[in-house]
Parts: sequence; C-alpha cells; structure tokens
Amino acid sequence: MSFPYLSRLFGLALVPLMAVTAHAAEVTGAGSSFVYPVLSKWSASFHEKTGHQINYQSIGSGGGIAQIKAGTVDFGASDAPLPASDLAQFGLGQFPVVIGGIVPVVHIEGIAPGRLRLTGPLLARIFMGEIKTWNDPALSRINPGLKLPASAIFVVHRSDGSGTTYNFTNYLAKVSPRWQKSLGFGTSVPWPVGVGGKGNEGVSAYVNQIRNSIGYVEYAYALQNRMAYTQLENAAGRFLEPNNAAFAAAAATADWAHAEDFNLIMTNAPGEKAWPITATTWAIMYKQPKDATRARAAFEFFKWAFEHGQPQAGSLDYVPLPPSLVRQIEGYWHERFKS
Amino acid sequence: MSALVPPSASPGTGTQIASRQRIAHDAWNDRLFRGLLLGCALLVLAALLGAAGSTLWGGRLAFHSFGWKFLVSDRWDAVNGQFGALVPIWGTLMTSLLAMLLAVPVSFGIALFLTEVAPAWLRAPVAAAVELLAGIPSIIYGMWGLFVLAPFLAAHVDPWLNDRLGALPGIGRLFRGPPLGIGMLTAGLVLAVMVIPFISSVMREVFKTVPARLKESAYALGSTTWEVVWNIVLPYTRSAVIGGIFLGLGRALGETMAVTFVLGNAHQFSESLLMPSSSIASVIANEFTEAYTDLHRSALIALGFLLFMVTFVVLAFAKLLLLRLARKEGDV
Amino acid sequence: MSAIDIRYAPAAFERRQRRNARVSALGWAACALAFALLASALLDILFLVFHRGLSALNLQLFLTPTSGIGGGLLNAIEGSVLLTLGALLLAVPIGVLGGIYVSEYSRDWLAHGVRFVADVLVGVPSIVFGLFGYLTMVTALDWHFSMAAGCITLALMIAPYMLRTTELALRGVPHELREASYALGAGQAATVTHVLLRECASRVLTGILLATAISMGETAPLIYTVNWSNYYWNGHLTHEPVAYLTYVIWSFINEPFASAHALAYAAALMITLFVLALTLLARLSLNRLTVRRSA
Repeated sequence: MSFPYLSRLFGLALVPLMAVTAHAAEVTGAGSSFVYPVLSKWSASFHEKTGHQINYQSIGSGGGIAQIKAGTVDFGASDAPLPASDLAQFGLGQFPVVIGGIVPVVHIEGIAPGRLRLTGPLLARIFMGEIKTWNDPALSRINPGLKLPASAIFVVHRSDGSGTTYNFTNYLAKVSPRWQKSLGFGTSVPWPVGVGGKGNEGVSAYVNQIRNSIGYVEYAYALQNRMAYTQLENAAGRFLEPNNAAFAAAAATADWAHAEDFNLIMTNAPGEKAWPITATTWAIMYKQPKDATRARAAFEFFKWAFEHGQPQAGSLDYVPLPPSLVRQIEGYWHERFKS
Repeated sequence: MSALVPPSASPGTGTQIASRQRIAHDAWNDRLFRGLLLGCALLVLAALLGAAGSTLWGGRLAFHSFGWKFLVSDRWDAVNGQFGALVPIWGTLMTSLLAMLLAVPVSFGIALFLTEVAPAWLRAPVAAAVELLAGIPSIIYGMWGLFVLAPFLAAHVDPWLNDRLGALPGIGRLFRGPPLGIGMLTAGLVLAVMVIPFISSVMREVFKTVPARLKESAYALGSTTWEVVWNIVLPYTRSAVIGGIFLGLGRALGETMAVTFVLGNAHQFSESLLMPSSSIASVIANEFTEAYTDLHRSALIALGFLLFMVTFVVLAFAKLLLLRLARKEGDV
Repeated sequence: MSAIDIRYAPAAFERRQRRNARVSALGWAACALAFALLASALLDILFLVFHRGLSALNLQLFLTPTSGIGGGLLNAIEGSVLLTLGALLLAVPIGVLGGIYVSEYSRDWLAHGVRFVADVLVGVPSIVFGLFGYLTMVTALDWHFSMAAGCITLALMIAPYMLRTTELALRGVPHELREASYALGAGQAATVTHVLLRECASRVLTGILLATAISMGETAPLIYTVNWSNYYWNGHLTHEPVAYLTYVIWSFINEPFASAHALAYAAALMITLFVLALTLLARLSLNRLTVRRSA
C-alpha cells in the first residue's frame, strides 16, 4: 500500500523546510552492520560524484537476507554467504564487497598487543571453558618468554547475533572437532562460559574493564581502543600478528576460483601469511532486477567503490579486495547479471 | 445577554420553527459528535487488540513448536533452534523487583520530604526539577549506566559485595561473581533511578490531596510530623500510592533501552545479581535484526507477546486493586 | 484506666515525646538521604550528557546530513521533528476526541472499558509497539521501513496518553459550567467544543507538549519501523527509511570511531535539551494557568 499522491502532497507542503536532493537513481540496501561505516562513507562520496543516492540500512545480516528475498531492497549485505539452493530459488547472485579481520583480544597486566601467542584449538578450549587459567601448561608451552598470571581466564563474547560471531565460531569449528560437535557455528551460539557484550563495542568495553579477560572483536575496534590483540597460528602453522597484509593474504589465497557464487568462508585460509579469522561481507542482488535503472546504479556504485573507494576503506581499517578477486567479481557480473 | 431568555419563551411561530429546527440540528450534531468520539475511543481499543493479536500471530510458530516448554526452558540456542524464555523472564522479573525494592522507599522519602518538611520556597522548584528528569529519554539513562555507573560499580561496589555478602550462607549466592559492573544489579539500579522521579511525582501529587484539616487535627493532638505522615497521610492515600508503585513497576518491566545497555544479555541462568542476564525487552532489541531463521524471529515476537501479557496483567491488577480500595474507602 | 494514664502522664508523655522526636528525626534524615542520592545520580547523568555533548557540538551538525559515521545531524533532526509532527497529527485528534468521550459519557460501560485500556496502553512497553508496527505495517502491509510506519507506531503510543490527559483536564472543569451551558440550550457537542475545551485548552496543550517530549525521546518503537537513513526525507510516506536522533545514540555508540561517538553524544545532548525544554514549557503553561485561576 502506498500513497503516491498523498505523499507528494505531504512532501510538497514540507519542501520549504528542507533541502530535498537528487533526482538521480535512489538505491536502497540493507543488511550487515559490519559494513555500515564503509558503505555509508562510500555512498556519501558516490552521491557527491554522481548524484545517485545509495541508502544503506544497517539492520543486520539476517534482516538484509530477509529484505532482499522479499525484494524490498536493491541489494542485501550479509556476513554469511547464501547457500546455492537459496540463490537459485530466488534468482539471486552474491559477491564479496569488503574484507575485515577478527582478532582475539586479551587484557592481562604487562602483555602488549601482539605478544601473546594462541592457536586455534587452544582458543576453542578457552572459549569452551576447558582451559581455565592463564598459566595453563598448554599456554605456557607456546609462550616461553611470557610471564602469564595464575589467575582465572575470563571469557567475553558477543551477546547479540552477529557476523563476527559467525566467522569466529566458524573458525573454531574448523579447527576443533569437539567445538563443531558440541556448539557448531552461527550468528549466536549457546556459549558455555563467559559474559556477553552488546556489539563489538560492548565486547571491547568489557575486555578493557575486566582483568585477565579474553574476547574477540573486529580489527578496527582493537586498533581504535588500543587493545592487546594476540598472535594466532594459521593453517600453514605460522604464528602471525593481525594486520591488513595478513587479511589481504587470506583473501588472496582463499580458493575463490572454485567457489560457485563466491560461496566460501575465508576462515582458516591456507596461505603462509594468511590471518586465520578473516571475514568478508557479501552483497546479494537479483540476477534479473525488477528495476534495471536502480540495479545499474548499484553496480556502478560497487564498481566505483572497488576502484576508487579503497583509501576510504583503509582509513576505516577495512581491507581492500585483492585485484585478482575484483577481476573475478567483475567477470561474474558480466556473466550472471543482466544489465 | 439576550441568550438568557429561554428559547421556548420566545413568541411568534417563525422563531418557534427556527428554534425547533435548531434543536433538531443540534441533536443531529450531537449524534454525529458522539459517533466521532466513540470512533476515536474505539481506535484505542483496536490498538490494544492489534498489539496483542499481531504479536500472538507472529509468535505462533514458536508457541506451536515449543508449547509450554517455551515458558519453562532455560535453553536459548539459535544455532540448534531451541528457544526457552525462562532466563529472560527471570531477568525481567528480578531486575524490576530489585528496582522496586530500591525505588519505592526512596520515592516515598522524596515525596514526603517535598510535601511535608521541605521549606515552602524549595518545594515547587525541586518538584519541577524531579518531574523534568522523569522526562529524560531512557536511552540517555542507558548511556549513563554503561559509561559511568558500570565502571564505578565494577571498581568500588561489586568487589565489596562479593567479599562481604558473598560469603554469607543463603543470600550470599546473590552476590557472588566477578566484578563486571554489568548485570542484574546494575540494571536494577538504573531502572530504580529511572522510575524514582516517576513514582515520586505520582506520590507527591497524591500526598498533596490529603485534607489539611486531618493533618492539623493530628498536629493539635501532639503528633510529630513523622507520626502525621505515618498515621494520617499514608493510610489516607494508600490506594493511590499502590497504584503509583504498580505504574512504576509496569515501566520497569518493559524498559528496553536502558536495560539493554547494562544487563549483558547473557542466556545462561545465574542466581547472582552480579552476573549478566537478559530481559525480555533486551533480547528482542539485541537479536531481532540478526535473526536469520523464521523460528528465531518468531520466538522473539513470542517474547514480545509475553512482555505484553506480563505488563498487561500487572497494570490491570493495579487498576483493579485501586478500584477495590477506592470502593472500600468510599464505603467507610 | 484513664485515671492511671493521667496520673503518670507527665513523665510518660515526655518519654514518648523524646522517642517520637528521635524517630521523626531519623525518618526525615532517611528521606533527605534518599533525595540526595537521587539528586546526585540525576545530576551525574546531566553532567555526562552536557560534558561530552558540548565538546562534540559544532555548527556543522546543524547544517549537513550524516555521511557515513561522520558529518552532521541535520537529517536526523529533520526526521525526529517530522516523525513527531506526524505522530501528533494522528494522535492528538484521536486522543482528544477519545478523551472527551471517556470524560463526558463516562457512565457508559464502554467508556469505563476504554479508560481502562488506555491506562494499560500507556504502560505497555514501547518495544511491543515497535514489534506491532513491524509485523503489521512494515511487513504485512508492505510499507517497509518508512515515515508512515513510524508515525503510526508513535501515534499508537501517545494517543492513549493524550486520551487520559484530555479526560483529566475535562474533569477539572467545574460542573457548573456544563450546567450553565445546557441551561442556555446548547447541545452536548456545542457545550464540549465551545465551553469545556476552551476552558481546559491550556491543560490539553500541556498534555500535547509532554506527548511531544515522549515521542521525541523514543527509540524502541522506531528501530524496527523507521530504521535509519543517511539522507533527508524525500517526501515518500512509505518505502523510504528516515533518520532520527535517538538512533544515532543507539547505534553510533557501537562504532569504534571517535567521530561516531561524537555524533552520538551530540545527539544525546540535543534530545535531552529538547525534551527538558518541552517539559519545562509544559510546566510553565500549567503554572500560568493555576496563577490565573487563583488570581
């Protein structure tokens, strides 16, 4: 139901109150809150350049998927890929938009960022409540130079459903069969221990507040809040510090070529220099859009973002897609999408 | 003032007809007016039915899948599609109860102070200030709870509670836990701060209605101000005071924004007030946007229905209680 | 018995008086302490909002829309104002007319029922209204996140409030006025519109101001009905999300960047100031009324 006439009347009456802009295409998108900062930054610049208005609503990945399936937005954005069956059923296609890293953060007296070493299985055992103290032999063994306190480990996780949790638990499930069996992975899992913070900011606040705690946040939050992130052993058996190069390496070495519709979760990527908990957000669009003008504007927007938006993404601590992946995505557009 | 002349007394057939016409016109106007008013009043009824009906309909999948277990299970597991509302229900009740335990005596104190002993020049401005503060949006209270109150409690209050009270048998269980600053205690405190201005301004209004005659007679018999309050003011206003308390409780039960910031939204059951929990409203606010599956979404809407029913029952109970007490007092 | 009482009266009376004085002092001390506690908490809240909000305030906020997680807040200010105006446009007529019904036809059992329901609705958590709006308007009617869905949801919240304030205002009008009006041959409609409403207009206005303050400060009913937009409203009632101030607090406080936090604090300051100003205005208009009455 809509009131085209009424709304115009209402709108006209109020026009003097405000600066109504844009007669160019208006594109709406909805979904993942992870990409909100960069997408809205891009859309502001893109709006200045082209007059097209990209309106992105950060309603969460679940909401984004629901909205695009219902056809109420021009693109959805999700931190988890849609399975091929869903894509086929609704005539949708998806492609990565931006990459980000998820890092474990700790708050232990005297431990600086990037000092503590962890492995995936140990991380899983900590978050399952099996390793209870920081001076556990398993932790001391891989941290020979560090003096770890004899106090209890305090686990902090996300309380709200989130893509961050999805990727983090996906990684733990990949490296720990027991985790896979008892908890599985998803946007929220029944955590056996710890407290939940709302959003990345909530987790950061708790970890900063509580001594001897461990949590996981998106890289940007660890940097902005000057938190002690840890090293992590990757699939190639190397201990790495999280940084943009390590995230980009994960994206570059992930096996996109064989992933139909880019349906690939990048955690535990094989590369030598690949950070093991690297995540991407997918844009989801109709292959045969209802409104071709708007869809074209959306593609223009993503193309512009891939080519010119990278400095802005960098300033917000996101990682640009590697050029090889961008080429692949552009190929995918020409092949699959009509317009 | 010619209008003072009664219409029927005016002579002449022409005016009589005109006046009869006017009366008919007026009567028609009245009917129309009454219909319009009734329509608007019914809209309010429709809103209530709509809110109840839509949330019940939206939650049918969850109610259907889990039945009564939805109310008594403490398992909230989105991955495996198991949803039980016990923890949010418990958290909602405990935080509200805690808030009322703190807020009711304090509100009493403030209202009595402002109506009975504060110097006259102070009463109006302070009462106005309290009322102003009752209007501050709840999200501001939440922000304050998160950035000021929680770190303060974590640093100064929680460790003390844990050391002193945590060791006690019985109630000690309520005060054990790490000093997080986030949890039911904090949520209860924030709620208390939120509802105190509300309850105390209701009570103040109520206390003002006590006839001066009654109080003066008590003073004349040698009572102290405190005795006047305890023996005259409170019994006289009992019903309305209880009403005010229940209205405050209704607010505390359904408060969303302030609680979500400071409750921690944990789905594990915990006895301790120092541990994070979740409330019905906070679970909805936190998870609704990220709910992927229909069942999860439906479970959240079902929670909304529960919240609606709980507040409805509390408020209806308050109203009925007031009605009964008013009737009883009317009889005396 | 009474004779004994009288005989021992002086000493017993003094003892009782001393004890009473102690209890009284203790009681009032507790009251004063309670008051001091509340006052300090509330002052601290205001301090937080003003301290952080003022340092985040600049002219840019009032001139430009949000861009990403920086920029201004003009789109949110505009959205908040329009949503509230829209809600008032719907709720005030319904609430006032419903209030008249309940007050002037109160012997009716229906009026009792409506009053009861309105009282309950005033207390129903706002997030339930948000869910209701989402389920009915956003999804079932397919309006999406939109101005219309937000306005109607807010209106549902404040209409019962308006109903009750109007009813109370009308009840405050002395009965003689009604009788005088009927005696002059006025019908009920004329009596209500020409006599009663004029008499209590200022109280109804106070109710409207407070309802404005409530709807400006709400977050929970809007998250799932209006969502958020980085742009100005484009005149569409449906299908277009709208920006509003409380969302900035709810959402931007969760971003890692200082610019986002600054916006959140600025929005908190604006909302607080606006709500306080409205409440103050409402209070002043009420005061003026009582002064006029007693003069």
